[in-house]
Amino acid sequence: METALTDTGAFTYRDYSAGTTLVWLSYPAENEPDDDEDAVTLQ
Amino acid sequence: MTPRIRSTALLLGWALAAAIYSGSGLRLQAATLKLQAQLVWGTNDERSPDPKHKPVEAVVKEKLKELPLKWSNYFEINRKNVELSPSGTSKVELSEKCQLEVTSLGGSKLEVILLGKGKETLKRTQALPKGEMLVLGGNAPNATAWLVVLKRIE
Repeated sequence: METALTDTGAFTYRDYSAGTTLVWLSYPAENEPDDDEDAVTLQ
Repeated sequence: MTPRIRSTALLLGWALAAAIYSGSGLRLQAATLKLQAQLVWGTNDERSPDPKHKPVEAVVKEKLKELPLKWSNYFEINRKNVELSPSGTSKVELSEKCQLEVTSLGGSKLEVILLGKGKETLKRTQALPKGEMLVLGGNAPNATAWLVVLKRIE
């Protein structure tokens, strides 16, 4: 069973053969958990 | 065998079966879920500007390549192992701004909450059998991507 509860801005893709689920959050980059200008700041 | 002995043997058999069943149930209940959470950066650049970032392992890269993602290279920013007791919750800090809260809901079912800057960004409930992978992702600056890869190890 799979449910997406609060991810209204999310796209879900399921690859059954590989056993992988992708949930893509479609917010702009500046709203992401790591939003600094320089990608190195993901840390 | 007299009827009395037969009924006693039957009772003992049932008691033994019940003991074995409850024992195995306890073992199942006590099973710990082992997960691995990775913070990954997706890019078309050949190298990460941070030399500490290593390419993700081949198995993860192959699975990511099978997804509808446009990036050719994936670098591991951070990795944390998570052990969940039955009904247990674990909060994992993958970066200063990115945290993952995982709760075992019994069997292989999990509740996963993604927190961005301490705020709930996504809440999802799904089964994650051994070997399967849940990937949460989104756009990052300069047409790159951030990904949180959650793998069930055991």
